[in-house]
Amino acid sequence: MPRVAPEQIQNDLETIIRRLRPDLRGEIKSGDRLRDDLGLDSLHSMELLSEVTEKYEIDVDAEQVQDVRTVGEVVTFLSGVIG
Amino acid sequence: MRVQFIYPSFERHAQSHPELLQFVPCDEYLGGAGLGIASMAAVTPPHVEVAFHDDRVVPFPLDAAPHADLYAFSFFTPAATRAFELADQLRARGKKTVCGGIFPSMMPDEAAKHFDAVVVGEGEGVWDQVLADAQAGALRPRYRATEPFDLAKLPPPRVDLYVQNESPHLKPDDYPLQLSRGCPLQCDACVIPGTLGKTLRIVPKDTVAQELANLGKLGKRAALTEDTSFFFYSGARRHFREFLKVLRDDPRPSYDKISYVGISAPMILSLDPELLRELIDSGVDRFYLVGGFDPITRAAFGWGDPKALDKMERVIGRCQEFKIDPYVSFLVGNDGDDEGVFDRMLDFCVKTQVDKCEFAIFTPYPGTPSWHRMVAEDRIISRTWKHYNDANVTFRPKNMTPERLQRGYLDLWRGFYQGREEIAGREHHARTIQF
Repeated sequence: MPRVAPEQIQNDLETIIRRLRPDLRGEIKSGDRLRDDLGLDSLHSMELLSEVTEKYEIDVDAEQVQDVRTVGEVVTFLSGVIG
Repeated sequence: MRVQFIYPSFERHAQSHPELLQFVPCDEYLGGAGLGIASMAAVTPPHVEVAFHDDRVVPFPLDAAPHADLYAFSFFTPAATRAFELADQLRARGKKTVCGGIFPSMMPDEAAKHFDAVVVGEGEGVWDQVLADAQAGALRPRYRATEPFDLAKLPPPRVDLYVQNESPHLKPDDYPLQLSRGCPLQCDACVIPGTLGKTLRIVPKDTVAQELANLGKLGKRAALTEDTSFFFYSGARRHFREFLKVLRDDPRPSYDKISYVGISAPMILSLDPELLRELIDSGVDRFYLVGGFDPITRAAFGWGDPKALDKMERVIGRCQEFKIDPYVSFLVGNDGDDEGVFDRMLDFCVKTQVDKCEFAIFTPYPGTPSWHRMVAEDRIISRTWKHYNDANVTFRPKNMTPERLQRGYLDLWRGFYQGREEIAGREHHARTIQF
């Protein structure tokens, strides 16, 4: 997998999140919490992580993502793997 | 050297409660044996002769037992009662016995009372040693692999052994196809992390393709029971999509390729439309929707949480929208269940027009987190393992009596299938369920 810039990862995430939550209005910020601010429940989170791991063709273990809570943390995590 | 594999019998729902045969208008489907023995046979060296006996078809003939240097059992909890009976009798006749599988892995000390040797966890990594020790007359009481088996070295299971043993009474049209082993989650009632490890490992695509081809040659369909295929861990969902391509390219007609895909019911809502279309294009026309193990179905039916019920209605609606038959397995007896759980399930089935379903009683399987919790709370009321078959109450429920739970389970079967006698007139696939 070629390197992907954090800005691109953020854009990709935003696209997926807006598809999962089409009713979401306004800007998606780095500090937004997936559950509390963006309203992603556990099934949404599962789909989000499935989509990004498929898109970037990466393998993720449960322990690696258990502390990920915000959009920024997802970007940081993914940047560490593919950035 | 000769190894006699034995798959011990166990009680099914309709054997525990024969009245089910009166009020369920479906044909009873008896599935194939678990993959444990077929997997061990596949890693048995060619110089060792193997034979297989399915005790469900014909009781194993203790007094005319075929000669073997080792009698090898694989079993899950409901079959433990019969496995112990057979092993005790064989040992009394001077035979050597070994066991593995879910129950022996979870309760090795209990199994050790009845067998010369117990294999804990995956057997492939220690099987050569077991055979060598048996041949030398020096079986050790316990075998446990030090690390997970490398699935890149996994040969396809010898399902042909099962097919050779079929009879008019047991002629499954499908056998399980294993896509992965292990799971990182710690679900209350699941045996997978305890038996196959906490890391999700993927069976290589070529091996799966070979297994699928083998099933095709045997005239059998594949049954997919692994929820973990839909997880993002370890790239499982990506690998699953690759498997769907293999399945799609299988030249057999759709109906002949796959019988169903098992999945935790709410997970349907996490599948993107593209994946659902890929499932259909691959020939999948039935989901085996598992309810009662996840927080959403527990909240929906246990105490009627409106948001959770709405999600469950959307699960059924989504299956119907994509024309994949939603066969639902309802579980009753969770700690959050009050006595309204039974009516809520039946009302839900009417509202969502579920066509066929099954009902099961929560069972604290030995070794699972729920088992340890209930032992600590002194709530286990039966250790008769043959009753650990999802059809009997083996623990003290939180919000009702054991008798109420048992009655409610039977009422669910009766209530759902009342007035659905037309099912009996449908074609084989549409009128058959496992109970």
